[in-house]
Amino acid sequence: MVILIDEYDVPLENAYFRGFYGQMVDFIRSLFESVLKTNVYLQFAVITGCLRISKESIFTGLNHLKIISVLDRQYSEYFGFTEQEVQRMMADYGVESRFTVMKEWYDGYMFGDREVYNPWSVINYLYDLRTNIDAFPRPYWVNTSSNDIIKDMVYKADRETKGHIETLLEGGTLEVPVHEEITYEDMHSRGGNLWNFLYFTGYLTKKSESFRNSSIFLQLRIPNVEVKTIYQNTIMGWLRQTIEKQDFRDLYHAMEEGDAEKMQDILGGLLFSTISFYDSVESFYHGFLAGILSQSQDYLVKSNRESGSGRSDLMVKSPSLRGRSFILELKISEHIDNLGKDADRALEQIYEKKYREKLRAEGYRKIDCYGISFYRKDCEVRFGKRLEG
Amino acid sequence: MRKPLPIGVDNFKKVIKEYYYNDKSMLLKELLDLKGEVNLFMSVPGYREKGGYTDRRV
Repeated sequence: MVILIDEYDVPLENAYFRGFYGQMVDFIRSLFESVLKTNVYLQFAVITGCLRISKESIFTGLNHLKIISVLDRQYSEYFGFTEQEVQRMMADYGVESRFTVMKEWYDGYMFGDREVYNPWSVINYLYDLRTNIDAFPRPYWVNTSSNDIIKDMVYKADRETKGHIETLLEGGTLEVPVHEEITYEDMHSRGGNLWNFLYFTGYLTKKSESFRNSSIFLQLRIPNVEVKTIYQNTIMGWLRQTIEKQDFRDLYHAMEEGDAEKMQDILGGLLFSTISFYDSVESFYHGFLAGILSQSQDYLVKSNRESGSGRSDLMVKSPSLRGRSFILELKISEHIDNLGKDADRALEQIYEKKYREKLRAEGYRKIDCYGISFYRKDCEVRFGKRLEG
Repeated sequence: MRKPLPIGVDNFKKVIKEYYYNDKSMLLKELLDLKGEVNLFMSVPGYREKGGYTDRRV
């Protein structure tokens, strides 16, 4: 009897997301035990899957299990197309002139010590080239189930993680120790797991490896343009959302404490990750700040963009008149050296135009104000005088 | 005229008769010769066609 089991991990993955992972592990473990361990008719079995569930949970007692992973040298061509194979296929369809693009986009997986191409993407691009030799390459690898897991992990990522991803996007590498066995359950627990998971799921590939302190360390990089576009289009977007959620609480906290320096740090960090220089027009900064501040459930944000309205750019008010209120006036600097001067100018405008008095007339008693200036990705925040009583 | 590419076709008989393919059958011999009874291949999910490109499947 020969047994072939394809994608053994798919039911586990679905069970994980639907909340019956434990039961599915038990079921698959007993299935594998009777089929692969105590089965006297078994001659040969091949199982394929993506994420290795730790041996203790699924492959208990399968002593004769031979695991062949992307780390193994001799099996590289089992996992994809070699360069010769890709060249031959392209020649067969008469599209070999597009080889450079094919390589740039879909090559770059190191399995063991050989590079292979992503077969699914190669076939799809070949398909497109066959009808139009000028067809643009694109990411064919999208919406695989593992994207859900990565999305889940990235939502929980911090600033440091994001920094590492940026390094990778710039073509850099990241060194991590290998943990070959990852379970769905402990995926979030250890710091290195995200990178291991990205590696074993093909979002990262290895540049080189080293051995020290009895562990294998991998230098990881993004394999090719196709995968890079996935990071840019999806992963960075998820990261941005996560960070904004974390930061708006810190920003509010700093604003309540009168900590202008902290506000400046947080806003600077957000500007760094969210905008390009093309965006540096006044309305952008206004919308940017209003967008972050309006995530709070504790305050109302009133935004006035029309000039001459006699109101400040942004007003942040607690629903209760006994609570706190803030006035924010924004300035766009024409030069980095003017940031300080312009932040002061914003505060002066608040005093001169008596914005605070207007809030007092509404009934608020604790009124604070800030002047903020922007120049590209830099900003300066000044805490003003409080109007009390 | 080249045979078409088997995108979304998972019937082996059909593929070897009517479609273009890259023959890696001999890798199976290599694997059998190693006499490993149960072989677990840990692949890369981006390689799966499942969910990857549904608009071309019928």
